Amino acid sequence: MIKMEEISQENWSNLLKQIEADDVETKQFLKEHEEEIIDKLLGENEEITLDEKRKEYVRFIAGEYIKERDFESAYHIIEDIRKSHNASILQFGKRLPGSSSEVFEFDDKIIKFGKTFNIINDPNIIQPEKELDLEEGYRWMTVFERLPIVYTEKDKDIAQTMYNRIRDDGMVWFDAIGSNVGRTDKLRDENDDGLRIIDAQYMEYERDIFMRIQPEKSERYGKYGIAAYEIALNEYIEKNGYGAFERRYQEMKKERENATNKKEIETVAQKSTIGGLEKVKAFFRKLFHRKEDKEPDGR
Amino acid sequence: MEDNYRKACKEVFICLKYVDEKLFKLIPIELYTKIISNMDRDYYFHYDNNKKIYEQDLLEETVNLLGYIFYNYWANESEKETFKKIVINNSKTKLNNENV
Repeated sequence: MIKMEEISQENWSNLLKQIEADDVETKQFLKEHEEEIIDKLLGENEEITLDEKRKEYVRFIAGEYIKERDFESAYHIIEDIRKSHNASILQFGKRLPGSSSEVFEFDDKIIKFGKTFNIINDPNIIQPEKELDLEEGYRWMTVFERLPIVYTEKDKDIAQTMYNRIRDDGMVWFDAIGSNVGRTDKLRDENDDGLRIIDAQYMEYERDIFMRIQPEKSERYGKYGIAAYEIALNEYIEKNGYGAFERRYQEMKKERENATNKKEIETVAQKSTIGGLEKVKAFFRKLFHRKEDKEPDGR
Repeated sequence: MEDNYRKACKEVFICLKYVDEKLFKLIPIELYTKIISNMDRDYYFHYDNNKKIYEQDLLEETVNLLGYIFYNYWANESEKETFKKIVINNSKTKLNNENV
């Protein structure tokens, strides 16, 4: 539970980190004392409204190096999320920026703004909950679980092992450092949309995109590019060692080789009925009824 | 009806994880976003890795949703023609079964 006397600019990040996702009491405290806490952090200012104070708070957590355009986009989306979760702006924090992205935290979620191009559809990679094209190739997305990043010497070894494996597949992982290796708290199944071991085979598409946007790096590494995804390893790797990881990696590769293709989908699709398809159309029409949403054109 | 379609969105979301990347990229991002934001997150759907997608235990709504996606974004002209004929036939069969 946060105490008012502990709150200061210097201490704020640490205090946020201590809040558990299910800590209802602290979140209620933040909501009830939101304006008071913002005043404590940023200095009292009676001339601005609470909304303006919230914006100043977002500016505070964003830091001085964020570009103004990025900040404005981030602020609007953060406000949207705050309202839809009926949360306090104080629940939002910021991590250090990635190489081409700004990353904010909200409870157990991560909101990432950046030059993320098409997301590879791979069951081993976090799929965004929401993806929005802002402008000039910038997208933002939320992911479901925060990666607990714990940098230790062992993480460095894991990163090295992963780097070697991906390199054997003909690709280079640029960000092969310990702090890009995270751990999930629990084993996941396909319902969890969570993090699992990445399959380097599916980096191939990202390679082309990466080389287009980072030509200086492609010169350095030759014809192979990489996707600098954070790689999360299940906790059983810690318990069972790399052998278990090797086996799991091979299983994942096999699963992908057996992935569904168009013919299989066609077999399912051919069980549809006219009435069923009409109902689907009506369902999507309802979802896209807002003026600003465009109903995707059928091809 | 809406509840079942939200469950179907969840099933489609999971099925799409196993679809070839080239196919997946043909789905407009707006549609994919809507599927994700409207799916029933509490609904548990088990995708059996040992079975093909047409062997999975899918809701009728999921089948129709995949049919919609297949017809609109993946099928070529000849596949669309075949699809239309089969779907019309399915509808007639269903109607006959209901009338019996």
